[in-house]
Amino acid sequence: MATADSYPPPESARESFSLTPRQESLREALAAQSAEAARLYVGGLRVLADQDNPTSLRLASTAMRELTDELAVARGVVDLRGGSVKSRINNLRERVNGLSALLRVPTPSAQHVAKMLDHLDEFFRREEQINPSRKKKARLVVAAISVSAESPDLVAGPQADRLLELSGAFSAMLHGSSRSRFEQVLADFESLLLDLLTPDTFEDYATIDELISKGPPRA
Amino acid sequence: MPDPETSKLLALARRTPSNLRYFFERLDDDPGWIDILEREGFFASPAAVERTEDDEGTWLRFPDWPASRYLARVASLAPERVAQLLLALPDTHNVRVHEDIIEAAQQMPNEWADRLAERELAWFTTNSGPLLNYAFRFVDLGISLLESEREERALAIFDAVLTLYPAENPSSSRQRPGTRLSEWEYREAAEKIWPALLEHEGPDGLRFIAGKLQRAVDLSMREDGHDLSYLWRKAIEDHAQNLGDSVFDALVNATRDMALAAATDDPERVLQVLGEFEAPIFARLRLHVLRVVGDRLPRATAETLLNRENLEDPELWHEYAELLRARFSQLGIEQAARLLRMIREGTADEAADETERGEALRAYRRYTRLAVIAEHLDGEMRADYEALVVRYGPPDHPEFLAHTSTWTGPTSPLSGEEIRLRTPAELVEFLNDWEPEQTPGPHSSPEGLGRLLTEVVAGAPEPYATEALRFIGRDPTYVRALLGGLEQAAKAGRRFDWQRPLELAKWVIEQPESERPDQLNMERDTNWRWARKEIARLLGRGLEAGAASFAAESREVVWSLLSRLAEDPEPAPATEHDENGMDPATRSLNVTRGEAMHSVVRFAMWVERLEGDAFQGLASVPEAQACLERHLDPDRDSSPAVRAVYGMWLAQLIRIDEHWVADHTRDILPTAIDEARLFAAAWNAYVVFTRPWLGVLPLIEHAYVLAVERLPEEPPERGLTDRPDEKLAEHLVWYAVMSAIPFEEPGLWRDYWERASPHLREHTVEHLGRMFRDATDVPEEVLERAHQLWTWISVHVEEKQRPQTLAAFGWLLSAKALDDEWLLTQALELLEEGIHLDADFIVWEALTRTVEPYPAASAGILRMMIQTDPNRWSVSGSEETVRQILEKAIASGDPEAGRRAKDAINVLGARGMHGFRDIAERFLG
Repeated sequence: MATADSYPPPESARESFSLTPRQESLREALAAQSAEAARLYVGGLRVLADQDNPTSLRLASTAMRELTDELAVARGVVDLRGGSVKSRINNLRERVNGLSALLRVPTPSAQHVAKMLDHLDEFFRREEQINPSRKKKARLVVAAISVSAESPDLVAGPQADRLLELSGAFSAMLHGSSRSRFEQVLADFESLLLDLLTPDTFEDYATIDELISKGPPRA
Repeated sequence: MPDPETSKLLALARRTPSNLRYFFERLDDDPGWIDILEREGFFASPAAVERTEDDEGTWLRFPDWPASRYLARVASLAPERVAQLLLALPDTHNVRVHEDIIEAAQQMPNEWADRLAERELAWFTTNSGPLLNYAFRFVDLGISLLESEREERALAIFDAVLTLYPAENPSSSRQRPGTRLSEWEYREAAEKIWPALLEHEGPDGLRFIAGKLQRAVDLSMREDGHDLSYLWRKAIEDHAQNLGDSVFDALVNATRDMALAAATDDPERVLQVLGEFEAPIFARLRLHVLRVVGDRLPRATAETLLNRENLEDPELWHEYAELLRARFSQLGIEQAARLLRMIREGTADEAADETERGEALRAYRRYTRLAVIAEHLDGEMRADYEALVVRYGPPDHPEFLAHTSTWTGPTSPLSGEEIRLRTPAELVEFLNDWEPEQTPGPHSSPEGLGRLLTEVVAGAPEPYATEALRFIGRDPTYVRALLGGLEQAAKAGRRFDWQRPLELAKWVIEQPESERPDQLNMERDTNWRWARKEIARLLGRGLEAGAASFAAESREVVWSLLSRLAEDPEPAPATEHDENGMDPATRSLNVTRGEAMHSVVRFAMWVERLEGDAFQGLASVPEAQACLERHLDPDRDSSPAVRAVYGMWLAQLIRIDEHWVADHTRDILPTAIDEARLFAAAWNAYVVFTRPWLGVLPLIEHAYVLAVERLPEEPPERGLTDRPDEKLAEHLVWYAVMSAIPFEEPGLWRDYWERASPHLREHTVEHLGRMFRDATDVPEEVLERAHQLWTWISVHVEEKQRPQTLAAFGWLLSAKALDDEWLLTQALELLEEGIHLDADFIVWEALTRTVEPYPAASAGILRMMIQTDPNRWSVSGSEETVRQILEKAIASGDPEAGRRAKDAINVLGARGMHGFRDIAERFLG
C-alpha cells in the first residue's frame, strides 16, 4: 500500500521553480563574476522555493552569505592560497629562527635587523590580505564588482555598509526567521547586487531628470 | 528632513557612482541645491585617491569629485557660500578636487579668492604627488590675484610654482636644480607668468624671472664662477644648435622674452636690471638685447663692442659675434677702426706667443672674428681676410665656438635624370674620371651613385644589359648596382637580353677575392662579395616563371655560374655562430651561397617547366640533384642557413621528387642531438614558410614528433618572421581537423598538447577559429572534426588555464562555416564561467550574423561580454556594430533578448557610454 512518503507529489516544488526576469538578470551578472557565485544564488533560491523543506530558510541563508564570500575570493579580494594559519605561522617561525642566531650578538648588523623586520611586515601584510576585516572586505568586494566607470568610493561607503548589514542579516537568520523577513532581506540583497552589477542606469537617470526639473526644495 | 520627493532624488543620486555624477551634472549652475546637499552630507568626503598595486608597482588614480565640480560651477553665483564650504573641506590629496577649488576661487571676489589661495599654497608646498593641470590653474589664479592688486599672494604662488631646489643628478657629477614641475610644465608656467609680471610691474618685474635663472645657475655653477652656459645654451636666440628643453632653457627664454618686451619701452632699465645679476649668462642676455634694440642705444652698443673683454671672452663669443654682425655698421669711422685694430692685435696672451703655434692661433682667431663682418671689410683688412679664407677655407658658422652638423645617407654626384640622359658608355666614362671627396662631412659617394644607377637600370634595363660588358673592370659598387637594377627589372617582368649580363656575371665570379679585410665601408664595396650575392639573386629571378625568364639555351651557362656560387665561402662558419637578429632562413637570403642554393631549387623547377610531361623528377636535373646532395653532407656544408633552404622548399621538393626526399628526409631533418642546430634550421624554415599539406606529413612525421619533443619551455621572442612554435600549432590543428592525425588517442596531438605552453594553447584555439572564419563549402566531416576538436580541447585544458586558453573561442564564433547554434551555446557556457572571449571585435562581428536567427542567445553573449570585460573598453571602437546588435535583439520581440539588451545598455551607461540611451528610451520606455 503506497503511503504519502512513498512517492513525490506529481509536481514537486523543485520542478515548479523558476527565476523571475530580474533574478535571471542577476544570475547572469553573477555568472560573469563567478560561476560558483551564480550557482550559490540559484541554489539558494531553489531551496527557498522548496516550502516543504523545514530547513529551507537556513540553507538559503547559508547560500546567500557564502555568495558574498565567493565573490570576494573570485575577485581576488581575499587570498585563499595562504594555507592554514598554523602553516603560515610555522613558515614565519622558520624564517625568523634563521635570523635569530645572527641577531643574538652584541651588535647585530643593520642588514639582518632590516631583514627580520621585512619578514614580519610581509607576514602582517599577507595576513591582512588573507583575512581582512569584515568592513574592509565588504568595501573591497563592492569596489571589485561594481560595473560603474566612476570611482566606487564615491558611494562605496553606503553600499559596503549595506552589504555588511545584509550579510549580517543572513547570518542572524541561520538561527531562525520568518519567511517574509527572509524574503525582504533577500529582495534588498538582490537590489544591492543589481545596483552594483546591472544598475537601472537610464531608468534612474530619467527619474533624476524628472525630480530635478521640479527645482531645489524650499528652505 | 527633506520632503519625500527630495529624499527620493537624493537616495537615487547615492544609489550608484554613475547616478551621483549624473545627478550633479544635471544640477547645472543652480546654487539653490547647496543647502540641502550640505545638510545631507554630500560635501563631507572628497573622492579619495585610488591606489592600486600590481607587479609593476603602485598606481594612483585621481577621480573627479562631482560635488566639487558642481561647487566650481556655481562659485560665481554664491561665492561666499561656496568659499565657506571649500575652506571647510577635509584635507585631501586628490589633485582634481584642488583644481576645482582653484577654478572656484578664480570666480570669486578678492577676499575669498585670497583665502582659498592661501589654503592652496599650504597644500601645494607640502604635497609631492602628481599635479596634472593644477600648476597651470594655480598660475592663472596667481595672475588673477596680481591683476586685483593682491601682489604678495600672487608672487608667493609664482614663487612656489617655479621653486628650485638642490637635487642630485645621478648621471652627472654636476648638480642640477630640482623643480616641482616637469621641464615642459616649467617652461609653460614661466611663459604664462612673465607677461603678467611685465604688465603689472614693468621692467622691474624682470627681477623675479631673472632671479629664478640666477638661482638655477647658482645651484649648478662651478666654484670658479663659470656657469658653462656656452655649453648648455649655445645661443640666446632660438637656434637649432641649442641642445634641449631644460629648466635652464625655460628660464633663459622667459628672461630673454620678457627683457625684449620690456625693452620696447625702457631698454636702459632692462640692461640695468640684467646687470644686477652676476652669472655670465646675464652678460650674454645683455649682448642679445643690444643686438635687437641697439639702434636705440648707439652709445651703449659701441661701448660694448669696443670692450676688449667682451671681444676676448669665449663664453660671450656667440652673442658678441651676433651683435658685431648686426651693429658694426652702426659704429663711427673711428670706432670701427679701433675695433678692427683690436681684432688685428689679438689678445695680450695671443700676442705674447711668438711660436708657430701662437701665430696660427692668432690667425685663426682673426679669421673667425673678421668672418662675421666680412661684408664690411675693405683695403688691407679685406686682403688679410681673403688670405685667411685661402688658408682655412670658407668660414663655417664662425659665430659659434663649435658647431654641430649631422650627416644623412649617401648622396650621388649625378641625379637620376642626369644618369638617364647619359648613354651607358658616357656613364662609364664619368665613372672612370670621378673620384669622391676624401673630406669628412656630407659628400657624394659611389654608394649614392650606385643606388641611383640601380633605379635607372630597373626602369629601363635594355641599354645597360646590351652594354653590360663596359662595366668590366669598374668598381664593384657600380657592377653590383647594375646587376641589382637588372634583377629588379626582371622581377617587374621587363625583358632584356641576358647574354652580356651573364658574361659580366662570369667575369665577376672569376675575380680573385680581395686580401683586404671586409671592412665596414658605408661609401663603397671593398670587395666582390656583394656583387656575387647580387648575381645569385639575379639568376634566381631569371629562373622564375615570367616574361624575363631565361631561354632554354641558357641552361649550361646559368648552371656554370650557379654551381660556382653554390660553393661560395659565404656564409663562413664563424659568421653563423652568432644568430642574433637573423634566423638561418633569413640569413640564407642574405648570403651568396644561401641565395645560390635557393636558385638551385628554382633551377630544378625551371627545368621542370621547360620539359613539361617529360620531366622525371631530379633525375632530369642531375646537376642540381648532385649539388643538393653534396650540401646535405654536414662534413662538406654545415651551414644552418643552407639547411634552411631545404626547409623552405621542402614541400616543393616533395612535389617534384617524392622518392628523392624520402631517401633524404633524415639528411634534411637530422634527428641526432649533435645535429639539432641543422634540424632546427630546416624545420623552422619549413614550418614557418610552408602551409601544411596532406602529402607532406607522411614523409616527415618524424620531424613533427621531434619538433614537439623540442618545443621550448620559454617561447622565443617574436622576431621578424612568424614563430615556429605557433606555426607548428597551426599545422597540427589543420592536420587534426583534416583527420590526418587523431586527437582521441595517444600520439602526436596529445604529446603536443601536453607540452604546449599556455600561450601556444591559446594560439591553437585562435587558429582553429581563423581556419573557418571565411571558409565556405567545408565538407561536413571536417566541420564535425572541428566540433570534436573544440570539445576535446575544452575537456583537456587544465582548470587554471581555462580562461586564457578558451578565451580564444571568440575566433571560433566568427567561423561562418560552423553551426551557429552550437557556437552560441558554447560561447554562453564560457561566458557564464566568467571567461571573456577574445577578440572583442570578432565577437561583435559574429553577433551581427547570429542576432536575427538567435536574438536571445546573441543578446546574452553581448551582455555577458560587456559584463566580463576586464578592461571596460570592449565596446570602444565598435559602437556602431554593437548598436546594430542591440537594436535587432530588441526589435525581434523576444522578451529574453529585450531584457538582456536592456541590461547591456544599462551596464554600458554605468560605464559612461551614454550613446546607447536612445535605444533604451525608444524601445524600452
